[in-house]
Order: sequence, then structure tokens, then C-alpha cells
Amino acid sequence: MEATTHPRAAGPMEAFHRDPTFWERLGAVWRMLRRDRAGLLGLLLVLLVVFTAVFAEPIAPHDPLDQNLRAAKMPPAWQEGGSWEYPLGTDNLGRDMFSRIVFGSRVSVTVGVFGVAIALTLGMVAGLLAGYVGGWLDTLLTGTINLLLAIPYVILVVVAAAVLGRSLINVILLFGVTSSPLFARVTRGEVLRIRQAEYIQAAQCIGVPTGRVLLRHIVPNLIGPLLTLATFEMSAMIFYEAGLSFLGLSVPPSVPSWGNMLTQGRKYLNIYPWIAVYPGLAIAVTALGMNLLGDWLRDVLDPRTRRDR
Amino acid sequence: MFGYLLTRMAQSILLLFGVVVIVFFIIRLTGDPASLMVPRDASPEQVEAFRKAMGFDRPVYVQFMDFATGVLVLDLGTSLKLNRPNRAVILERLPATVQLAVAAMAVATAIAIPLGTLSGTYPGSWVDGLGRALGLLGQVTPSFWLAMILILVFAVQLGWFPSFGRDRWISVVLPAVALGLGVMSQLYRLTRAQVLEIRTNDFVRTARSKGLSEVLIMARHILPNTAIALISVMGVQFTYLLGGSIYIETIFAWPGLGSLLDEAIKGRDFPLVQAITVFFASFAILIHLVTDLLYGLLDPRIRRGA
Repeated sequence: MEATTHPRAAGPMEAFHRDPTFWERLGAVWRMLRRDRAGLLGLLLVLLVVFTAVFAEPIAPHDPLDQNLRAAKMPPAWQEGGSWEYPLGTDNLGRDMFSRIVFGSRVSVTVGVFGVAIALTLGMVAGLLAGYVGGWLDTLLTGTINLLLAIPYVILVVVAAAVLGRSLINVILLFGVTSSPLFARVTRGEVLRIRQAEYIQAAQCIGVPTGRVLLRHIVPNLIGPLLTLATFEMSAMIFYEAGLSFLGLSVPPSVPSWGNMLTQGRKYLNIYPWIAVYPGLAIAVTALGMNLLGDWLRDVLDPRTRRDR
Repeated sequence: MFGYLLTRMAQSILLLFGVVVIVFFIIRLTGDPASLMVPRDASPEQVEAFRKAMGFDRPVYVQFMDFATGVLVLDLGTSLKLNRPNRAVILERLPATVQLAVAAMAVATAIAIPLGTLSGTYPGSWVDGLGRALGLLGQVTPSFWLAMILILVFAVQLGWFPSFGRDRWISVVLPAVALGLGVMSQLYRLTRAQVLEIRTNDFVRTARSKGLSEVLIMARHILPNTAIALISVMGVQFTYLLGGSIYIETIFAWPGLGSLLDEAIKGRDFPLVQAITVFFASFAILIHLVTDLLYGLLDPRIRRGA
């Protein structure tokens, strides 16, 4: 008798115990997203911006650095004197505004993605140590967080950027380091909350090594709150990068970035307003997408605030 | 209450020390503060002479003690470009920044609190829809871009307000709106959430059942309870306004500390940059201290818990 290979073993109970596959989880997320139009709009806007940044070359009709002085200061296509060759008009040097905005998304997306990646990594490690190990490390970390939150953030990054000089790497490192306390604070709070749970104590009792407790039992609980924070922080970093560019402290002036374009536009605000209007609109649309997506993520990933709509 | 006061003051002094450390080291991030401050075309001999003159050749701990004791006796150094004590320059520019920040806070509160209250009382109504749209708009619009749009519409096209300077009282309107919109959106969200939450409490039901009018319930039972959260957030947001002033003052040529910082950075006048940073951070710490004390005064649970 081969009782071990009972035909019923692959029956309905099997499906019940099995973890949902990746596609099933994705399907569940999609069903939740379909019910929330604002969240869906947010996701679409974020995807649009990322898509634009990745495929800037085929999307942009012109080289963003190409100057055409004969076509300088042309208004957008739908205005008097505009042409569809330059859909959003041209700047003071005859460079195509639309192409510059398309390429400008690269600076914003790069700063947002890499800045958040650094802040998330540093913050999560520091927060885990502070929350789980505690002691003087916790005191030191909490002190640093309070200190960085006490200084007006804009002033801190403006002064540091002025010292470090104009480069994309510097801006990314600066945002990554200065935002990490936010991630550390959220991680620390969650760890302090979770470590009291019985399943953690049970794991510790049966001798599961600390590293495994952290990775298997604590880190998965952090994904929700940290992902939500990451979305909002990405939008904040895009804002701050544009602000630094605007003050002439981010990427070099030759690089098409939304903030740099606003600075150029400011000089011609009275006569050629479109040079300043559309790059700002690009920033606002990006921030709108990320904020809507962040609001939705917060509702969905945090079961305590999840509402049935 | 006295113990709470003492703890908070000790914390503030520690924070202030931390600020001095950060500001001291921030201009040494590249390792050579001298070459940061001299003109870009200076010769190596000139850089060396400058390094000696500024004392950058001394051991770091001596320089730090020098800087820290200076801050302690409120000596913030001398400006390289203006050749005047930084403290005098800062105090001269301070009133304009305070005026702008207070005006921005006034704009933000005047819109956020009534709108947030209405939104929280009638969730799902058209007022709520309007409020939420405005709140989202304030959150996603960069202040420096909004400032330019305001100039474009209200100064250039309509001609209602001046586009720069501080010579008339009306000059403050556009910068205050540009600076205040972000704060407005934060305060609006908070007021709405607070009102929504507080109105479901039992004491509100009791007040209603004893026949108080909705206006009285709002004025006596709901709004006073939102005040505690609002005050603490307004403290944080004031720090945000100080930071945001660097963009807005630069755009509107507003003669405050934000535009002074921008000028100091462009002129490589880093002693002045340091002085302004220390000043801004101390100001922010002071505001936090005052809000926390107010907070403790309003909510007995806080001061006993501390």
C-alpha cells in the first residue's frame, strides 16, 4: 500500500494552505486599484513620468541641447506664431521646450529613485539597529533624527549643496543621507511595536538567530509603511531638486532639468511666460501622481487604516 | 510643569550644540574651506594667505572652540563681502522675513481652518470636494513656480500687485500667498481629519442631546480640541516657512534673510552663510520650544507624561 501518495493530497485543502503566487497577489492589488480611481490615476501618472525618462530619446522630437536661434522664443503651437514643430514653443536660445521637459524628467526620476534607495537602505539599517538592539545606539540615533528635523530642511540642503558643488551625484548623496532619518524613525517605531509580539518572542525562544528573526519576521512588516514613505519622499526629493536647480545649486546649467528651466524662464517671465510655465507644470503633475499613489498605498498597505469603499 | 519646562530647555540647548557642530563641519565637507571662499581665479598663494588670515591652518578643535564660543556669546563672525558683523546684517534683514512668514501663516490659517472645519463637518459635500482639491493643489505645487505664476497673472497681466520689492504694504500679498499655500494644505488636512474624528466622540453626542446648537458644539467642544494638534503642527510649519523663504524672497526681491542667504551663497560669503544657518536653526528650535510649552499648557496629559 502506498498510503503516502493519497490522491486527495492535491485537492482543495492544498490550495488553501499554499501561499498566493506572485500573479495572484498582483491580481489582488489590481482589483483594489481598480476600485480607487485616484490611486489608479496616480499610478498612471507615475508610470508616464518613468516611461518618459526611460524612453526620452525616441519621445523627444528634437535634441534638447540643439539651439536654433532663428526659431528662438516661439510660443506653444496653439498660440499665435507657434508651430507644431515645437509643440510647447522654444526658449531664449531656440531649444525645443517639449524635448527639454522630456529629458528633464531624467534628472528628476534619477534623483528620486536613487535618493530614496540610499535613504531607505541607510534608514532601515539604522532603524532596525536602534529599535532591536536599543541602548546607546538608540539614544544616538534618536538624537540625530531630532537634530536633523530641527534645522529647516531647505536651508540644510541648500548650504550643503553650495559647499559640495553642482553635480548630480552630490545631490543624490545629499538627499539620500539627509532623508534617511525619516526612514530610520518609521523603521524604529515599527520595530518597537512588533518586537513585543508573541510570534517574535516565540521565535527568539526556540533559538532562531537574530539575523533570521529580523529578516523573516520583522522586515516583511516594514514593507508597507516604508513603501508609503518612499513614495512621498520621492515626490519631496523631486521638489527639492527643482528648488536647488532653481537657486543654481543642483546639476550644471547645461543639463536640461526642470528647475534649471524655471530659472531661465524667470528672466523672461514678463515676455515669454511659457518658458517658465510648462517645466513647473511637469513638476506639479509628477508630484500629483506620487501623492495620489502614496495616499492609496497608505490606505491599502496599512490594514489599520484600510477602508472598504 | 516646572520639570517639563526644564527638560525641554535642556533638550533645546543640546539641539543647539548639535546645530553648531553641523554648521561648523558643513563648510568643511570638501576638506578645504579656504578654496571655497576665495574667488575662483585666486592663485595658490592668495588661497594660502586667506587660509592663514581666517585661521583655517589651525588644528580643527581650536577652530571649533573658536566658532562655538563665538556662537555662545552671540558673535556670529564677520561677513567677507560686506565687511560688517554678521549679527548686524542679520538683524537688519530679520523684520522683513518675520513679516513675510507671519503673513504667510495668516493666509494659510485663514483659508485652512474654516475650510477644514466645513470639510470635516460635511464630508462628501461640494465644500469638502473644493477643500480637498485645494489641499491637493497646495501639496503638489512648488512654491517657486506658484510665485512666478502669481506674478504672471496678478502683477503682469492684471497689474493688481507689484511683482517685487517691499515698499508698499500691498507688496506682501503675492509672496505671502506663494509661501503660504503649502502650509495651508497641511493645516487644512489636519483640521479636516481632526474635526472628522472629534465629532464622533461621546461628549459631542452628549452636547447635542442636551440641545446645544451645532454652532455652539463646534465653537465650544470641537474646535478647542483641534487646537492642540494644530498648534504643534503650526510650529513645525513655521520652520518650513523659514526654509521656503529662500525661494520666495529671491523671486520677489524681498529684502529678508532668505534672499540674504541666496546672495551670500552666490558671493561665496560662507561666514555669513554659516551665521544665517545658525540663526535660522536657533530660531526654529526656539519656535519648537515655545510650541511645546504651549502644548503642555493646553494639554495636562503631556506635561505629566514628561
